[in-house]
Amino acid sequence: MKIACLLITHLAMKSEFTRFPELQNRPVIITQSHGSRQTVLDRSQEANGVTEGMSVQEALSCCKSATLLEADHPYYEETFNSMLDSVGQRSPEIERGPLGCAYIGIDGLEMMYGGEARLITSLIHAIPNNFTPRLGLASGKFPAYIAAISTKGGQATKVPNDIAAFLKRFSIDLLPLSWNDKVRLHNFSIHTLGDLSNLSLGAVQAQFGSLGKIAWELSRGIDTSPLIPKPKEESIKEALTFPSPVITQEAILAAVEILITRAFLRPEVRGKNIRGITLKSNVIRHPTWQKQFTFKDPTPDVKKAYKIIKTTFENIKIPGPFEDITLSISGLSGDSGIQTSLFTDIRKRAQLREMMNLLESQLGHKPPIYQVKDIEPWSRTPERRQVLTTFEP
Amino acid sequence: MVQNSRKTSSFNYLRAINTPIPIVVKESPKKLPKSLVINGYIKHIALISDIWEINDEWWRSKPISRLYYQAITQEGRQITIFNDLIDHQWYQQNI
Repeated sequence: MKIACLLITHLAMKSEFTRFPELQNRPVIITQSHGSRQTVLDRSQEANGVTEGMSVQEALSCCKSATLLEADHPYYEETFNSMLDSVGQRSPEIERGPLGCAYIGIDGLEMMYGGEARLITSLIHAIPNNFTPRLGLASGKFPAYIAAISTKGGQATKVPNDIAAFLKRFSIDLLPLSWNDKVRLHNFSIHTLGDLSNLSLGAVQAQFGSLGKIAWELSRGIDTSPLIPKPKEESIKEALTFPSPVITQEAILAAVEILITRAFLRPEVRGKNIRGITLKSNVIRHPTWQKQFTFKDPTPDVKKAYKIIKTTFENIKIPGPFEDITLSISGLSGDSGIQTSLFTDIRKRAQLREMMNLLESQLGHKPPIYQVKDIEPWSRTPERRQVLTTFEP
Repeated sequence: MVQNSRKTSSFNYLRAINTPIPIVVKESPKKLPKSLVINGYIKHIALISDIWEINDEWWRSKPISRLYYQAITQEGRQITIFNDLIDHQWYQQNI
């Protein structure tokens, strides 16, 4: 199987440069928070001495003039997804890896494009030039990834027939192993894939078990892991821009109600069940705000969906003034309705259960709803006959 | 104002219902209920329609020994009250 690895390095930084071209040729650091700790997610070429994963304090001491940007993950994801949609027009088989990396199945596509070179050009052209995509072509995902790493931006590298010889100069740090395993390999003086492939499989397996076998095979360019294409998901989007930025929940909820009603009226949604809704907004002086609402049970009912969003929204802290709001519906299920019970009492029970679940999620604990249960109905003492117990529908 | 009990609220327990409510009863010379106070109002008993005695849970530290009266007030309301034969207090209880 022929696989192309599409690699866009520093995707976060390149996305920010697309959005803010004035930042180009300047030292810029993108930061992300891990609780109270802030680290560097990405940095521009001009931010000398700064590396990814470094704490922000350390980074600023290395590059005092750097502009700090807060990571906007939804924006990077959206940028990468739009690129994959564009690549998807060339090949339907795309497996998404981590941000900036994807594997594309290209079997049989050369014929359509009039040769491999034209196909590669077409794939590279699917990505905007300023993102300088790299392509690596091989028979497996790992060698294709290594080929993509070894190539220059905007170019492609095809792994030669002798894959092991091609891979031998690369560091074992590129293997999909844990940090501890990589340190152990280095401690054994195994620094390159060539060092690893020169060993016998038995020796590697004796030290590293099944992971050692996988690493040894990868070092020889043997990667039989299948390409798992991302299922194409229908997504419905409705957007609205506020006349002036809003901060109140009431105003945002009013906009959400309009959008949700509009989305449910779309012919592709009508009569179908919805599994989830995502709300996204550009917030003034803040990264993009995004919140996903997943329904316990898929629903075709606009009122019910809005009620769930409204209930959850009451506990959400709004980060800043919303400029706009985009609602996307995902997980459209094909069935046009939910099969309900023939017996009304069972239906009522299901409704009660649903109501209890909603109340529980709203209150944060079991709702104080009780039911009367007979414990000693035969007792002569009236207070012994029945008790109140928590209601479990 | 109700003070915070500082107890964690929990709903995982059984709660007794129909527990007796203490009431004030004025007795006749024959020790029968004559009038009673319900929600701050005095109700006069017009008729006692039934009387029965319960002796139960004699094996427990607090045995039950009650003399029940089914009575009808002058307003026509039917109530059930009992005289606890151990602590000699009057209670109202639904049957």
